[in-house]
Amino acid sequence: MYKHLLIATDGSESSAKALAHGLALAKSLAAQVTVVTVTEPWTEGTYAVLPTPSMIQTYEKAAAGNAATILEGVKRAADEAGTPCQTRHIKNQHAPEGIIKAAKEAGCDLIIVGSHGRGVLGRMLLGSISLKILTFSPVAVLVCR
Amino acid sequence: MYKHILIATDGSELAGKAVAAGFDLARSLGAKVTAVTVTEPWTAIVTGEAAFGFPVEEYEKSTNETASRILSGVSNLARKADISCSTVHAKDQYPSEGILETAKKNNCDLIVMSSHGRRGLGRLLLGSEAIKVLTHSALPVLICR
Repeated sequence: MYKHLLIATDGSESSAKALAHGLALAKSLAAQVTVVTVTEPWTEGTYAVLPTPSMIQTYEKAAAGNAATILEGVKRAADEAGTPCQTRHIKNQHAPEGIIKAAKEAGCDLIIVGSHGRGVLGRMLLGSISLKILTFSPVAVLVCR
Repeated sequence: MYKHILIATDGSELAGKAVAAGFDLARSLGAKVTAVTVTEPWTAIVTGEAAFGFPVEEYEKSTNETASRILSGVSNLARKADISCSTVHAKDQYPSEGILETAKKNNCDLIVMSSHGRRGLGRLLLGSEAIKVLTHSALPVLICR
């Protein structure tokens, strides 16, 4: 069965469900787990002003800080669940691309995502990032809600 | 982990992958399986003048035959794989609705299906029924490809 699960998280509630499902599934299957969080490039989140190097640095520092906070939470959840996991922060990528890239690089055979992340929450019935992962993933995808 | 897995199939080659993955997962987790195939209502398929040449009785007979052929194929595989599997033919429904309703009725805790079925193969990157199930499901959904 599945040997190496990739769980994607942005720290949102829906991601937390995906994390819980993924950790439990990994335990049942004795599978390896990699948890990934992706931060987007500067231009994605910010418009209207031309960036100066210091603005980009500030953004990158904040992004790295957010990712570290999310991944620390993941580590705690994994410890509580008794499922060891690797964590990874992918920088400067669109979330779906970063997640699929991480899955390929780690040789994962299943991607686990929440139905929604932090984006246009709740208003859409299926999140755009989940949809893109489903569309482009070469491996099976488990969507949790 | 998952105790009762619903596997959706329309008998297509890709759905066969979902059946195989669902069985593997069920075996690893000691879960039972319900396999469902859905046939659409007569009016969804036959409209206008064609209806005169293809009466509803004929249609039902042929969909019953198709469904039982698909489901007996799944049952045979289950027997070979030594998995407890019941089968359901959901009649007169749109596929996504039939899948979701069967999952609810049988208290399933996971839906397994393929990214595409018989229609729109290759042309669409993610099948329309898969999207509908993902959109409306309250359960986690595993999409195989």
